[in-house]
Amino acid sequence: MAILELTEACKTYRIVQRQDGISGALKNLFVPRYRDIQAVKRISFAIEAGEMVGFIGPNGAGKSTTIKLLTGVLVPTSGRVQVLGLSPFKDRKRYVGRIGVVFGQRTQLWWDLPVSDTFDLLRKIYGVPPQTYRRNLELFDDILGLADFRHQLARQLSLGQRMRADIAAALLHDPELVFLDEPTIGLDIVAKDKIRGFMQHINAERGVTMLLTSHDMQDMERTCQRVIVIDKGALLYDGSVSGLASLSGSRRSLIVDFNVHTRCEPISGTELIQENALRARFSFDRGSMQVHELVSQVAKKYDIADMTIEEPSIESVVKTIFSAQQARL
Amino acid sequence: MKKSTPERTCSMNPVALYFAYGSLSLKALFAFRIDAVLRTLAVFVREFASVIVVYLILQRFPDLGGWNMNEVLFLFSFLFLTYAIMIALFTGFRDFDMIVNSGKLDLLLIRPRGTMFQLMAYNSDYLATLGHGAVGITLLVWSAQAVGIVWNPARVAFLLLTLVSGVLIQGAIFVAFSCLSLWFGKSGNVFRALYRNSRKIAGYPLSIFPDAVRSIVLYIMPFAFVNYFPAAWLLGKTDGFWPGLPFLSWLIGPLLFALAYVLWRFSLLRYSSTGH
Ligand SMILES: Nc1ncnc2c1ncn2[C@@H]1O[C@H](COP(=O)(O)OP(=O)(O)OP(=O)(O)O)[C@@H](O)[C@H]1O
Ligand SMILES: [Mg+2]
Repeated sequence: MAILELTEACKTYRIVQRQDGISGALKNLFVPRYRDIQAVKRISFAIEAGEMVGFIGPNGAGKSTTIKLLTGVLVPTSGRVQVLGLSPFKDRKRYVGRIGVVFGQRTQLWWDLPVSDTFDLLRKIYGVPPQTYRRNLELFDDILGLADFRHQLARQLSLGQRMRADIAAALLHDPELVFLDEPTIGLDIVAKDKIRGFMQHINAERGVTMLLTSHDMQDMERTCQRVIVIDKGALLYDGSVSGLASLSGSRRSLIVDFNVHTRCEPISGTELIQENALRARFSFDRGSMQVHELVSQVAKKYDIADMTIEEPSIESVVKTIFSAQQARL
Repeated sequence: MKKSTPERTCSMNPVALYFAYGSLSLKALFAFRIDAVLRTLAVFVREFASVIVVYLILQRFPDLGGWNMNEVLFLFSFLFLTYAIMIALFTGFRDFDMIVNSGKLDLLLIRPRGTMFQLMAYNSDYLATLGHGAVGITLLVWSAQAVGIVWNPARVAFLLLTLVSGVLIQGAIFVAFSCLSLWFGKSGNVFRALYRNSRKIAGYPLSIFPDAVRSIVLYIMPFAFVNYFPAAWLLGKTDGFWPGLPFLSWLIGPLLFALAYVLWRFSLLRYSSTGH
């Protein structure tokens, strides 16, 4: 049964056009000029209990706006939002006690206080029973390594530590459903991996339903079974991660830097683009070529300084899906 | 689903939670002890300087609409005392535009507690309370003695009720300003100026002003009910107004605050967050 349903949801921001000067200030007050921004246009999807769903799209696509509609922060302009059998904004207090929210861009930690003080206050706000609280802290210490910095002031944390603490803060009260808006933004690979692992653990072990946004395709591939893609406020794709990969061509590139001037020979299953004497790019399909196979073949033949794998960017994925749909019409 | 909804057995009552917030606010403020002490002192000196200016002006006009200097200082003390308490409760509404712009309001909305409650509880500016409170108590004690007020139980009760109502009147004004910000975009500066200037007018007996000025502190920013009418009653002055007005003050505060609360609940649905 779906625990989250979005039906033809729309959100239009109405922003006041500022007018300058004293007469402008008066006009702002009495005859304000407005401009409408349609951030979300008739989006519908449903999520089942226990699912882990990725939500992607380029900048300004409307991801954060959708998350705010789902968390009761914003009131939809039209359409229906129904989560856990409640209306997020109408039943706000009852509803938000059962969900967890992480806004990766801003912290919910009390800036001038140790992390543990924020946790303790959250325990009181949500009325978390002591044994639940203790059990959760232990788990967070284990997987997120919070014990190292739980007594440090929030403003003294590194970005990665802060994000881990923020994610823990959103999960202290055992929410059934968790929304994460860019939980890996600005983090390095190691920190990202830690957070991905934690999200997977919570989803798998506790059956917590999750919806997360990201600009990193890897976040989706590593953690989610299902992705929803939006662009310019409209839904583009809703389906499996592998389906998205096949739709978007899923071409990766292996970029090889050589120590000496090298002319490469083509390798079957890849497309070779020699960029110059010191760098080559092998573009390949993830279905027909394994990365480690390609890497070992290349490493055996040439004198290599460095190799990197380039994933398709969200922008290129969106572009391919979009043109595929245009072609079908 | 593997997990059932946990029992919410330990939900804390709002008063206890308010104090939990309060002690954290204090802890955060006094994490920088020297800074906190200096800032409190700065508030005290700034506010006391404004009193001294009035004092100097009054020396030239020994009789201001029938009020002598001590009586005017008594009038003044109400403004400081009510502000001191009000600011401890309504800092979140004073800083509302900033809280919206920084996206903090989103974070309050995802907590299972009232939004107004959280704005009242979170990050209270207790330094302002200390600064204004010290000025207010100094003025009250000193001027009441100079004027020779005898503090019987009726007068003490009158004073306390007046202070409660005065806090609610100004709280209602702050809440209403925040609602206007939700409707018209950031408008804090315009209203802060209106509030501050009305408060300046309220430092003097209403009887010296022409009708137009009077109506500002009667109908627009009803400061007259915060200090003028109650102080006049305690000083035994009638100044020619209807003698029921000092007692009406007690009603005005709760009434305005109830109105502001309704407006708040309604305006919050217009909230449109920030773009990140
Ligand atoms: N509070 C707001 N007021 C007015 N317009 C807004 C507001 N928030 C977002 N917008 C606009 O709505 C559109 C969608 O923004 P949104 O933040 O939902 O995108 P996003 O997909 O989260 O983008 P990003 O990947 O950059 O975070 C954008 O055009 C943005 O400028
Ligand atoms: Mg966003």
